Amino acid sequence: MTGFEIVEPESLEEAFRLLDPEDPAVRPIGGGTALMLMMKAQIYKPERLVSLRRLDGRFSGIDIAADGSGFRIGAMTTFSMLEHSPAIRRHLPVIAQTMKTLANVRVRNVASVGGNLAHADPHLDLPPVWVALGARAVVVGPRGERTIPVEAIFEGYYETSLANDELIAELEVPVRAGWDALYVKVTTRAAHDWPALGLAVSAELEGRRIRDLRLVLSAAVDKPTRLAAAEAVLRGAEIGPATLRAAGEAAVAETEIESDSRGSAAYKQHLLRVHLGRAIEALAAKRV
Amino acid sequence: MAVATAPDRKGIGGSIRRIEDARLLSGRSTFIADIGRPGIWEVAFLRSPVAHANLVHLEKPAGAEDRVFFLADLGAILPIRADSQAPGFRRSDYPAIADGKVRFVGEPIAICLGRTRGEAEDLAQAVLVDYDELPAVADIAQSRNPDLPPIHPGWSENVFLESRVDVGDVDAARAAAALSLTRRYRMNRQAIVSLEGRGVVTYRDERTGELVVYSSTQFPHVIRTALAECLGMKERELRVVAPEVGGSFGVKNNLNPEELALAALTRRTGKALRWVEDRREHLIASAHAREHRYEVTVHADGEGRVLGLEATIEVDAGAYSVWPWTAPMEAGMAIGFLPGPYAITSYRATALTCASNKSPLGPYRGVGRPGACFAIERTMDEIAAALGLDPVEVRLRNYVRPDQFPWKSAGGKTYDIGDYGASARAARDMIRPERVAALRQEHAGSDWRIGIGYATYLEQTAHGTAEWVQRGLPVVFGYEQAEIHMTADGMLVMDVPIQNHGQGLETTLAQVAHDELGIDPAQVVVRHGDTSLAPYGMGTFASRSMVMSGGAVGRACEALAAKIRKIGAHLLQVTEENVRLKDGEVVAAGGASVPLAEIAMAAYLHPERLPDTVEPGLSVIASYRTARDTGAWSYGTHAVLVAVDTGTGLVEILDYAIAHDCGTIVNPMIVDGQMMGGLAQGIGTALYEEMPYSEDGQPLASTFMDYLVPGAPEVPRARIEHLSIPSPITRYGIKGMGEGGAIPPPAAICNAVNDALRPLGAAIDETPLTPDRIIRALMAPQAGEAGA
Ligand SMILES: Cc1cc2nc3c(=O)[nH]c(=O)nc-3n(C[C@H](O)[C@H](O)[C@H](O)COP(=O)(O)OP(=O)(O)OC[C@H]3O[C@@H](n4cnc5c(N)ncnc54)[C@H](O)[C@@H]3O)c2cc1C
Repeated sequence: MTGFEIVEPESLEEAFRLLDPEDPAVRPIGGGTALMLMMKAQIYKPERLVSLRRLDGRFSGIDIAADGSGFRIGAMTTFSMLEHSPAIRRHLPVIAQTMKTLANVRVRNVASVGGNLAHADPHLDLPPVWVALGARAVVVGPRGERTIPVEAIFEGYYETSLANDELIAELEVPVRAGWDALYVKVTTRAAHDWPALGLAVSAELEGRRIRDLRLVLSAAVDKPTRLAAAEAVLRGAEIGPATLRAAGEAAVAETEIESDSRGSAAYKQHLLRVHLGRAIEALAAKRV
Repeated sequence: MAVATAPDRKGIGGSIRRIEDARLLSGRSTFIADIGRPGIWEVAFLRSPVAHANLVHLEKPAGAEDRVFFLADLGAILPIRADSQAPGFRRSDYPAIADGKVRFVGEPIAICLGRTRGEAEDLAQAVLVDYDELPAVADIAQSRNPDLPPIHPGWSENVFLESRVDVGDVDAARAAAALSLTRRYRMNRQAIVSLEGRGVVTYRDERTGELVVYSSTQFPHVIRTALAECLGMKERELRVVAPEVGGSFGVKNNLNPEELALAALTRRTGKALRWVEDRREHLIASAHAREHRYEVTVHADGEGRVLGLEATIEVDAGAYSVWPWTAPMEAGMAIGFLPGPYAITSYRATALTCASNKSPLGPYRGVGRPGACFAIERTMDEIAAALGLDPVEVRLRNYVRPDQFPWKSAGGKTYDIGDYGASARAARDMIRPERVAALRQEHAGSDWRIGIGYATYLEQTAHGTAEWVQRGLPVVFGYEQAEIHMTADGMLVMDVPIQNHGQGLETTLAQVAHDELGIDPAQVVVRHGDTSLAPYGMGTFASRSMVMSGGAVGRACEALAAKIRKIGAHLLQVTEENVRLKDGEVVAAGGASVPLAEIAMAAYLHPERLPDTVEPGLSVIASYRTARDTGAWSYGTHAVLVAVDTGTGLVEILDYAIAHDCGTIVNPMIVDGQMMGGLAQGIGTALYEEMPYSEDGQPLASTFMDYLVPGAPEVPRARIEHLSIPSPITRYGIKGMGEGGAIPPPAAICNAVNDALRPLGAAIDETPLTPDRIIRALMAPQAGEAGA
């Protein structure tokens, strides 16, 4: 492992000066859990890492809007902070549920919300959940600031729409009355395996009728992906075997799933059909 | 029938806490990575990224010529040569580092030194290598393909050995059979995965004139012999030490090219070196295991009695023959063990040991037997299913009966004693098959299917001289030695050449000493793993140490006890016949006693107190072999209840029961632990672990993200029953049992899954039983028909 420097700017301006839009060997570092693995494997050889640790203000904290309509979450918030926040547990229980099978305590204590998104590994658990919840990311850079839907961060396998000197500063997550959400991590081997597919569902149900929903697939595809066709089948529909089957077929038809060590494409398509149906049923069961 | 153990028993039969655990659990011990030397260099190996290539050109990075070493830089050094004596065996020389050619991904090409491992790795990346790539042999089916190049010079086909067995009259069996079935089974290749990887530290001890080799190995004395041979050195010039070894399971039971390479480089340069294997190296370049394929045809009568057995066995042994086991070991074990616990007298089989451009195959807990057990136990269930019989009943009709021992098996083994039926009945009673109907009812209409499966295994342990001679290995492991000393203050130090890498042997050997000498196990120190401490011995593998080292310690203690009694009787002024050893004292019939400390004091510091006929000192060296050479045969039956989610193909283990016989049990708690550890690995083979290769010979699981071992959530707590029929051929009646737990789980679990799927017309005969494979089996055409 060749030498590199790590710097800890205390202001955004300083951070932008230290980042370099042209040089891939200069990167921001959040919790470092993803970067360190890539460095150990010699996939990534940095020259300078710009730590976001001392950039407080908007990069830290979990705040709920006065009217309860949504959260603001700083990009340097760790998974443990999310997991143990009483407000998050109350208003976004799906986050606490997802944490139960996400990595381990040591990783959750340092991994950050921003690093998790910017890493853009499609196997990660939280990104599809944020997308299902309709979260937006505030991205800051030397040329200004923009707010984009979380799904717009991802362009492909480990690829994002962020420029090299842009930073995710915070997330805005709406809290929608009457909506419920669920994340299904489908591991096909041991429990600690990476998922063969991740499925995040948020929906507004009225008995067994689906008024509205967001369905997001991850892991089996190269980025967290809204299942628009499957959503269209289910939106306004009554939950039943035929509808769920049709939604499953639509989901399989609208995605491009590839084979890997977690299963063949055909197998993962099969899982998508089965788990989509089971997830909707589970959500309905939660409501009653 | 569980062994009655008094809670306060300290000797054989007592579940005393493990003496070694305090240092291990508090992280105080010393593993390879904890060992340093002033000026030590960290080693990284440049390893081949391609499966099969000639090395056209090698170039050291400019300015680092003194920190990069190729084979030619190591001085006179012989390749590792593991020749089998079997006629027709094809030789493969395994060089310490590549000799102009690489034969698998991960094979070492250069040794690179750095002040840190990172620096050494960077250097390895800077070495220039020009590969002239050759087509890779990446599958068993390609081993006889004449279009592929020979892996070793002079080979006419990529096969190490083909061997045959033909006993009895299989043709007559076929003619008489009411039922003949043919089935194909596959147990795929896996890594071995010890918690601590391999590792070596080498340096020169100028005071003793020894080249010191610390290695995370299971058999230091044997490694010393092998290193001396390859390096052309005298054994006395080498000291081999296995420090604390963090698990091994067979993967540290080979002479490794890395051990040889580091020793040679230290000899050449005088540099102190340390290599600590990382997980990627461990997964791709340590010896692998399994990779068996079977085609089995069985002939049975209408009651399910087996009349004859035919089999073709193929094993992919990888690129090299490992020392000392030799490449044909796996297939040889498989062909020998296929008849299993059954009284099969007509048997015809072929075993093919193929070579490939993959990491060499080495021993792994169970060696050969998990595959053989898988094949025969699946077949017994298939007979039962075809005839509509209960699978335990079919087994009971076929087992070798208790009155038939010693039984000469069709596979050429001699089984010593046992009651296989008792183990099957006990396992069945524990798993309670009568509850399956109710469970199926409960899950009717859901995706869950319930199945029950059994598998009986044999575990030949503590193999004697004749067995190893028969196998034609370069080394014959038929005995073990122990050297014991009582210290001048009455403690016992035992120096043994076996290696304790998690089995609790420091405790169990102390329990043996307690029975012979009456000494408290807490007063016994067991030292192991060091050629400078212990007399020559063979190390720990093949479930041999409790029998062999226990026997040697027992004999040594018995001799020491005789001397202690003599001295004690003299000090107590009574005759020798009137004293016995108890609770750390020599006690006279009348009740007078003298503590061991006082006897030791006399023996070392006050010879004037000794009787005239007794020499000073309290040291004994003894060696031990079993009364007969056949090995002591443990066995047992596993029974498992599973639920299969036919929606996703996931298998959940609902209950697991083990009934086994390992003879006299020295420490029941440790035996239970060994069973559970073996079971965890067996579940890994059954459901999770696989080392796939691409068509061009690239290993596809090189991190724990791709190579899955079971974790705590995947391993149920099994219920275990001990049957305990003492072995007639070993001291104390002990049988080895370190491997048994890992042998039958793939068979039992696969039988249970097939039991669950049978009503749907689906069958699966390949490990690991991944959900993907199960779904494919469910979607196979014949499944659809039967399910419709
Ligand atoms: C042992 C282990 C187990 C794991 N198990 C799971 C699991 O079960 N489920 C799961 O979902 N994940 C798992 N992970 C992955 C983990 O979630 C990610 O590594 C983590 O979320 C990355 O966050 P980080 O803050 O550590 O990122 P870093 O490593 O700091 O950074 C990751 C990337 O993001 C960039 N970056 C960091 N912060 C910002 C920012 N604010 N703006 C722009 N770019 C930024 C960095 O430059 C880098 O490219 C596991 C990781 C480990 C080590």
